[in-house]
Amino acid sequence: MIHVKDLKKTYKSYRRGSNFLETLKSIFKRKTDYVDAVKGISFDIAKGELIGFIGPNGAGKSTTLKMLTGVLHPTSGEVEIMGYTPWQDRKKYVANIGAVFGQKSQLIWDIPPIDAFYMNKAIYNIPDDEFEETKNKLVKLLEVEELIKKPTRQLSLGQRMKCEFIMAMLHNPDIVFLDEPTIGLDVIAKETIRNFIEEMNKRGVTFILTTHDLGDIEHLARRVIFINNGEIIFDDSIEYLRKQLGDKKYIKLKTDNKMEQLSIPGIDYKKIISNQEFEIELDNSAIKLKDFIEIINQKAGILDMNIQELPIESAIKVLYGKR
Amino acid sequence: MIHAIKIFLSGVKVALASRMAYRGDFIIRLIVMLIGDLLFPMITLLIYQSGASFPGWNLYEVLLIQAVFMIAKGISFPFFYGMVYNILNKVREGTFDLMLIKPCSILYFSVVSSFNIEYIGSFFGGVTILIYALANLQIGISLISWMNFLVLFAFSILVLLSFTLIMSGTLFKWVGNSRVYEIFNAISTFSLYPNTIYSKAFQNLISYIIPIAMIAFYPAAALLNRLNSGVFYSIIVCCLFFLISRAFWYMMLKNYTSAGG
Repeated sequence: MIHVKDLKKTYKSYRRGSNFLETLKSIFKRKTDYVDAVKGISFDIAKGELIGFIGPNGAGKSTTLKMLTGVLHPTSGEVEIMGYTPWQDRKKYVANIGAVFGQKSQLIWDIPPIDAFYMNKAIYNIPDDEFEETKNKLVKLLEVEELIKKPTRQLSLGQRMKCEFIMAMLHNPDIVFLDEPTIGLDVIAKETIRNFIEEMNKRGVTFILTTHDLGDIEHLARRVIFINNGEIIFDDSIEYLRKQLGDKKYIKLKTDNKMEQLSIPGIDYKKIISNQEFEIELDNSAIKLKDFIEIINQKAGILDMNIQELPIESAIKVLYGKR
Repeated sequence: MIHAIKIFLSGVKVALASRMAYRGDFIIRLIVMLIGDLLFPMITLLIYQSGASFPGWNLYEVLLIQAVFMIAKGISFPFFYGMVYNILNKVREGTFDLMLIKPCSILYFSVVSSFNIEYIGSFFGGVTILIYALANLQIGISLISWMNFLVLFAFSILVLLSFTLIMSGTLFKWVGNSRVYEIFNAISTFSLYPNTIYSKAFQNLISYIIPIAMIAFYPAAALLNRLNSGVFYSIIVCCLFFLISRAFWYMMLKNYTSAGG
């Protein structure tokens, strides 16, 4: 469905200097900088996938997303999405996609979301019955029946974001690009939005999700593309990403008696709450879990123990470290 | 075509609803703009009352030119001049992205989404002065003169659209340059007075190179039966000016780099 090959984007910028003299000089003579925001990335996405597109700030995620939505022309490379080249067949192509930008609103501040929905109906040329059906379905799913009639400025961030999703999906797009859709939302609103994305994905909509909220990635994405310095440094499933860390477990431990810190290879204390309560990262390749349990039982006795997979943050930190 | 009309009506409806959300502000702006536009006719009145004049033109003829200018502004500004301000803000904030993901002509959508009713005050002010000037001129205007006026008035709107395209186009590259309005305000002033008060070279410049004279002078001259043959060349220049400014707008659009994400 999405085919990207050797996609590059280079921005031209001018150095203006930091002090007064340099700024003054730059009025007459400026040094040109070329910034390679995206350095020849390639990937393919199949219909119905839900991709987490992640990376640190300035990694090239948004630039890539803008090229995929037809907003920016790339410096070079190929993109073919549903048979279209986004920046060449922009009008036809964008009729089939939706986008939600967490920091840029498609709603209109002073008027109710319902009026903005009608504007999209005209823009996308949606037939009356199809529009009503989709609108009612989405409004019900996101539970915003009353909210859509209030001026946008009176809505909370979470309520606005729900309406942004409706706005982006009224024309039943095949692909939806999400750029930090849960930014600034509380846990309840995040959960509603995540459930909505999941539901739409089940109905066959392909999602490309850019976010810094790893909760979104853990809850939603089955595949992760990690981009850093304009290059893809990881493209696989979350499970595979975790395996990259080795066979490790995260253990929350409470002991019967006080216990000194153990200096055994494979045990890394992450948090020491008291001398009876610890959070430990255990490397199974250095010490087996059953041996670890035996040692603890002998030394202080186990009162409570919770064994988890390593949080996705740990895996991401490893990738960040590859900068 | 029906799709384009639907987008237009929807854009106008949304723009009107947005502006009406703050009725007090809307009415004040309407009045302030009308007062601003009446400034030039007032100055003209003062000039003639002090005994001075524009050679070869009486008070009411000059007022007629200025009325046509106000009517042209009163029609063109609500429909498309707002796109300068709209693009200025959207490019600076990076929200122009949201317009690029809509499946319609980006230029058309920029125009439609910028509808701003508060400029309509100029139209009513202009019509009032036009009626006042015509009543005092006491000249019979033939049907052909009115038709000539309407045709030339359409080109006046085309020139104003061209200026809007040039001004808004520059904003894709020189982001946030809020001085672009001043370019137009300064240049368009030359259309408020009879062409013949300028030197021959300058008359040629504003008729055949940058067709500012078409904004008000030529349409008003049609009503006054004072058109010269140069108007035909000026019409061709207007068409070229529009095509060049449209091409310029699209060329500048390619410079749009959005804002950081």
